Amino acid sequence: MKTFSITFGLALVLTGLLQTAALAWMVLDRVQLLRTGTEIVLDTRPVDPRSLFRGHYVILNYEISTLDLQNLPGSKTFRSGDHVDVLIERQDTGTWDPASVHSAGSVVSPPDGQVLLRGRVRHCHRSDHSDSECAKITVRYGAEKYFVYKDRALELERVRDKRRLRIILAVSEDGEAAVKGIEDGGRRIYNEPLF
Amino acid sequence: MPRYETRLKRDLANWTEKGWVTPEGAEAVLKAVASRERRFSIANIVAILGAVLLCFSVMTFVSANWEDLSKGSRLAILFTALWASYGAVYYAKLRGHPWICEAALLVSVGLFGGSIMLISQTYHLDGNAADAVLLWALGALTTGALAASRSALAAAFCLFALWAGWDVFQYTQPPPWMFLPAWGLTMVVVWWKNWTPGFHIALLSLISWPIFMAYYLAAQHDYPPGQLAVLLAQFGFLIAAAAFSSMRPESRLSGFQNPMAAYGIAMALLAIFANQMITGPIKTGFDLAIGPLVWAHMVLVLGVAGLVAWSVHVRTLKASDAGILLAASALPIFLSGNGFPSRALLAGVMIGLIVWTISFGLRHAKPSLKILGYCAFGVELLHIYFRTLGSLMDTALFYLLAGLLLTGLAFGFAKLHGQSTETRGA
Repeated sequence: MKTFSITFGLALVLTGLLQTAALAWMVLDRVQLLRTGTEIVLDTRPVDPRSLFRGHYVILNYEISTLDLQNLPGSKTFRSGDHVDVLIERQDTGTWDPASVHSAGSVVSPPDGQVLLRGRVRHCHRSDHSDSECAKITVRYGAEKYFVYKDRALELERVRDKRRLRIILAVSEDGEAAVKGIEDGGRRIYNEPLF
Repeated sequence: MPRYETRLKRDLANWTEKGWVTPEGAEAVLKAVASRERRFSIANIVAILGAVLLCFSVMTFVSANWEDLSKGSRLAILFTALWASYGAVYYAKLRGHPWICEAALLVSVGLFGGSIMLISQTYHLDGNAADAVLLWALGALTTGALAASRSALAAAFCLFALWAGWDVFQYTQPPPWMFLPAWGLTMVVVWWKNWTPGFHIALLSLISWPIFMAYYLAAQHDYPPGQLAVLLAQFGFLIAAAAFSSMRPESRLSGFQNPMAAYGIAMALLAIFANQMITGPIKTGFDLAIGPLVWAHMVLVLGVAGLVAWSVHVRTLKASDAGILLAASALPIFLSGNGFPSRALLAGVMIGLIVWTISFGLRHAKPSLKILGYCAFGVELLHIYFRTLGSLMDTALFYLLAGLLLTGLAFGFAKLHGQSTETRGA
């Protein structure tokens, strides 16, 4: 009985350690991204007021969430669910705009002054003259939700709806993005703490 | 009167006549069986459904923001809770309480999943949700394998199925091939732990795979995915109807009818549930004028109609039960569009089928159908929870709806139970 209890206890400890390690890896991966990722600033746009608020978070819809492929160089053939690499570059206004769009993995290293942002195609709006090409795509970058308590969320929504809300993202070399801070009309009003 | 009692009464009369059993003994046996049936009271049903609701109340805690705590404090709470649950498991094992031990293991699996969600919330992670579900499933499998937890293995099967379907419903790709090795790995653990009932859960989760594949293939070939799922649901009804039509002791399927009926109904429930997950407009074969789909629907519905009619003829199904099965298999064909009526009709078919499954299981003493119905009720509640949170509806509205549903079900079962008792008394 005693041997059995010790074996069972060890099995539980091993299970707990593996699960704790998995959770710690999630946290450390995020902390590393926030600490070392390249900072970019993105403009947001108002979204349908009926779906503005879910629970206690703000939906972030970026200007670059919809890409007009007819006016951007790069790939045009995408399907819903495809991964996509978007090269973005800094503008004089301080925000970052798309420079070109590519199939995931086709950009070996971004040119100087550009940053690679990886997303996933949500919808392809077909082009009039081709069944396979997209005229526009909507893309999710994995940083579309900002969890915050209710009053603060409502306040941020008001700022966003006046088109003054800008989101600072930390972007890793492989294009993964994390929300790092918030700007209201060019003034940094929030920094995401690591712990 | 439940079928087992009817058969036992007939057999006991026969045995008493042959002198194998005394009349007093036969009476005592019948009384014991009747009292066993009554033990499944309304209080039990409400308690089971109440427990499901309580589990979901934990989910609301997850979705609430922790306003006044730093990230470090939140992480400390999560890790402490996870380790405390394993402490509780060990304590329950030492004190010789296997059921408390198993419940605590299931709680630890839930806490691991809750921690993944809360860390995602804390760090605004909005990436691929399927990855989070996969991590949760692997955590459940680890608990199942190392701590020999059956409930954790059952959770792993369900979570792997959820993972496989997530991206197919969200993005229509990639194809859910990776579910098969994950399923196989969990099966190896079930085999290793020698847990025979686990094969049922394994088969139920495996049924979800053709549904996901149907969605994937439909999306790739511009077929209406919802209608392919309806076809699978109708196929499930056909299997169940075939089982009901042969529910006689002399049937060649004798001994196999109950699992066959349960698997058929499970397939139908899963396919209708999958249809509820479609985010875009639901298009029917009629909308798209796709001949083969419409013909396939017709053949399957006619097949179900023929089998349930035969079941009524041979008295293995009541006319009302046959009508419900036929309506449930035919109604989803007529769904079209993305508006409230289509969604409401689909939800109505789903909830109606769940209520019928539980009530049929109760009336005919079929535990497999009862358990299936309760599980489906839990999954449907989870679905309503996410749907209502996904709109402007408040969580309170969810509980109001769930409460009304619960009350309605309890009332329905009370009536059923009353009828069943009256029949027995007559």
